[in-house]
Amino acid sequence: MERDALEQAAQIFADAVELAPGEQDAFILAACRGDEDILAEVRSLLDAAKDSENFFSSLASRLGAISTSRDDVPERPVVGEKGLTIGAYTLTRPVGSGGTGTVWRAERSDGQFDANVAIKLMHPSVASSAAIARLGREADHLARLSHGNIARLLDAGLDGENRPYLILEYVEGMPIDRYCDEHRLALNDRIRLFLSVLRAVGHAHANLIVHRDIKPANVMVDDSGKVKLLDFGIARLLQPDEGAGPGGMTIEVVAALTPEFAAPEQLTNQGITTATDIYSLGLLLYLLLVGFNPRQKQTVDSLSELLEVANQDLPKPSTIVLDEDPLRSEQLLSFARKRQESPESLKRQLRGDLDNILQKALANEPEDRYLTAAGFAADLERYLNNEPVTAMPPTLAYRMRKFINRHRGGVATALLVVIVLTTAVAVTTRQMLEARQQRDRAEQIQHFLVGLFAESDPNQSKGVDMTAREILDRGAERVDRELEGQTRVQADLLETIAGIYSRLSLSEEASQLLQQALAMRSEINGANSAEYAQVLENLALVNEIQGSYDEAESLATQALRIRRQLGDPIGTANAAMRLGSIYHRKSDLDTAEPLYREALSLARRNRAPGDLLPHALHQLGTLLEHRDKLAEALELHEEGLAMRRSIVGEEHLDLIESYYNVGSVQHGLERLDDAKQNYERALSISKKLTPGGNSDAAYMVNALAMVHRDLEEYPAAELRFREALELLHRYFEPGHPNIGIVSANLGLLLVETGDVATGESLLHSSLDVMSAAIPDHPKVPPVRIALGRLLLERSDYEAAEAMILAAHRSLQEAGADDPAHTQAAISALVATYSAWGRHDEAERYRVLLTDQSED
Amino acid sequence: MRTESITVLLEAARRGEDSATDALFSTVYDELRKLARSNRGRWVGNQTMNTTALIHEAYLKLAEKDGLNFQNRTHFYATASMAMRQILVNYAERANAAKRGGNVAIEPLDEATVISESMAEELLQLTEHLIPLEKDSPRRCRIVECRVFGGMGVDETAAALGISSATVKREWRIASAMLRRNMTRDSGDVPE
Repeated sequence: MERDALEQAAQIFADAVELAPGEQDAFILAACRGDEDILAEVRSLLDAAKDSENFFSSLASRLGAISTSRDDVPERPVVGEKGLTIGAYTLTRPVGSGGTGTVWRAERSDGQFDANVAIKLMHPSVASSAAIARLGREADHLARLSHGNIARLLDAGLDGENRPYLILEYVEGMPIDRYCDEHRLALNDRIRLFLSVLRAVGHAHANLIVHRDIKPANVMVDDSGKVKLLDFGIARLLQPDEGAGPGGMTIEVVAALTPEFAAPEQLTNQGITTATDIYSLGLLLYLLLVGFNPRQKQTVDSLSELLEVANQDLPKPSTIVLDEDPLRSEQLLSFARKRQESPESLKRQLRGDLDNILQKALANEPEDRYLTAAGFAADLERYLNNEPVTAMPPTLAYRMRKFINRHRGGVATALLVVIVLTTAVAVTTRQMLEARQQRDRAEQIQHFLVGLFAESDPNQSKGVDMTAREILDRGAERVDRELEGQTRVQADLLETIAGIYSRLSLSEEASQLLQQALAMRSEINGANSAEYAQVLENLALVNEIQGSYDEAESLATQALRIRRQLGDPIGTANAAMRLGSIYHRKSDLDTAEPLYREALSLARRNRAPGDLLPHALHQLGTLLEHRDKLAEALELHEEGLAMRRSIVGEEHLDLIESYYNVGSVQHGLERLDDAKQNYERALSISKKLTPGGNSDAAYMVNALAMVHRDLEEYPAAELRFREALELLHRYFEPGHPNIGIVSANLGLLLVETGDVATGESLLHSSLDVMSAAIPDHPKVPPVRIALGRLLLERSDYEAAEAMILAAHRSLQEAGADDPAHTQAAISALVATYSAWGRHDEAERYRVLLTDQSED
Repeated sequence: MRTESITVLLEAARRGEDSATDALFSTVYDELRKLARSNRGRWVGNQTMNTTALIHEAYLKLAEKDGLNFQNRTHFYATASMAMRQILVNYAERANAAKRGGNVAIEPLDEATVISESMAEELLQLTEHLIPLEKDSPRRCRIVECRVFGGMGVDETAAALGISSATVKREWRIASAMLRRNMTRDSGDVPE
């Protein structure tokens, strides 16, 4: 082709590429005027243009040049100048400039000893006032992090011009990926090197420090092959502002982190935990083993793109090393060589265990990843030792999630199944004898449960979609059949499955399994053992749920006796809580209170781990709330809340209960604004953790609506009541008593605020439900009174009388201490009889009115 | 040759004096090489080398004192991008030669270790196609150098080369599509 023709094609291409894809074809056909060669050239350029931008920006960024796709990012100047003194140091030369500032090499100003440091000097605009405050708070904490493989933070502060600086240990070396490639480390040597990274990260995690920005440039290896992690915890110091929430993320914030190595929750600005580091570590290992960061090709220019990226599953490493694309396979060949392998042998080695390990570390959901860096390391060590690894292809959680997705709506409690399955395994195993045995058994249990859920997979159960119930039934059966002779494992599993049954409200089944487990425990562990007591407590709980309080009481009493004999304070506290809650349910508050108090003081004295102490605080708080000792109740609830927040952070299912409890007492104390705030917090956590909603959310929404009502914010109250009702309808049959109660709330509100027609029909349906399910509920009389009033307005005196008399009767009968509604009933009766012309009867009730001005 | 200050060289080069352009190029080239070598174990390493940081450092070293204006500064960057291309290609060739072994003694090559082997292959492939592009349209080649090796944005590139941003954008599109197309065609992969 002639140069002119090529140039002509180039110009047509440049015009065409500006057009929308749909318009391009017509345009180039016209512009090429029938010249087939030019047309073909234009088309091939258009095809190439699809990825040329990506290709070159990736190339540029790998060369360390700023990405070409970011034209609008203003250039950042070097911060600081040579000779500037910071603390005891003088800046000697800039080592690099980044988005946040400049890294300088610096030396001791006094030349006393030859100590080089690196100083990160930030642009003042980088640090918000919140970030600066954090810098002061946390630098101390970070400085205490001392580990041979972690570069130390020596000091931090603000320089004379209010620029934040960090003084860091100076590290010579090169990024780990380059080190591995240059030394042509074989696969297993790369894994061994990576293990020391994991150990360093594990040490930091144990000190509650999350790195947040693990990437090759932050993992250096020196000439002697020693790993040094840079910038531990520093990303957090530099983060603009926290608590912006998922919607508050801007592309600038995103640019501040390293999208290629960020975990999904970082990209979506969700909670950052140690699991976030696990994910980045997974990407790092992926890069070391395969040669690609699976994220690297993705340049992200918009927030929506980012969210999409965050939810993508990454390709299995073994599938990436053999590629159809010849250009790619060329690169792959070179990657493989650097690992002293061929692409085929590399694939073989990656397939299976390493695939599974990486997929586990790179799970999109943080809870599906390795819980700790040590767990991650242990699996890699098992791999190196040719032992079976714990990561399994489709994880238990994955199968359960699939299961739940299929049954969404049908099994509202499915979420609980997940929680119970994971926690129950942990709880039952926690008390096991020695660590090794424990692990083996946990694995066995997990395999077993995975098997069960695998069966529920329609692909594997030959099209028969099983219910949760059926799966469990089958599981219970299989425990007997398949694990014969392994009594301990059997007992663990029976207890686990019983736990799920009971959460699914299948108490009868749970009870049966627990009876079986009890017999086993008595045989293996003895009838005075902690294990035996544990089953007794679970069995007591099931009986309590079933309403067999006497049976529950005797079981829990027996458990408490054993626990006391064993002299284990925590066990005793647990058992006392169980027994206390049974008395609480029986409304025997006098017996319940000392048990709660005993548990509380035991838990306090012995610094009970986990949720025991806050749980005891809340239970006792609720009991005191029932006794109307609101001030003390509030104190307890607030302490419980504070404690849980310090244990589990800001987002955890347990906090829902805590905030709700605090709000509820404040509501009782008529601190309405505080109550509202706490209900809202409870609700927002609940919505965040179970975005699909759950039945508990309905109670919080209802409580919130009542506060709005009491604050006379009627439109908000109406909205919330409707929301609560909608949630309840999603989870319960129409005849459920709670539906009756919330319908009553909404109906009463509507009648009061003027939408009489809708309100009345709601009140009618609510009365139907309640009089069938909970005829003695205190909400029934107000509904009757309201309906009576409406009948009276229509001059239907007879019906009105019947309605209001029924209300009055139940207010008298139950010995209900509800003077407000009793008065309302009387005054409605006075009004009815007066209008009806039955003045004697009107007079007879009028004298009962405390406020004689009524009607 | 190196007696003239960088500002003088830049001004002369912008006036089109070839000898000044050459002198400028070799000054920048030497400085970049020196920096690349001394920064081999740099504290903040990127996966390979940080070309932008290197160029910036070279700029600080050579031109800091002179306080260049924007025009001169961008021109400096364009020259540095070109020099950077040359440096990278040299590294790549040496890395490649070292890899092939044979008669070439495999000794640690200071500079060669700056870039990884896969990067070397990619770079060589790219340069192979840059040469005919440069012959047909030196301007397009300069644009590619600025953007890929110098990490410069559209506006900076425009200022450095004395053309409009719109032209840079359009020509960059053409050049990058052509290069990409030729590279994939070369490897036998016909984009469908």
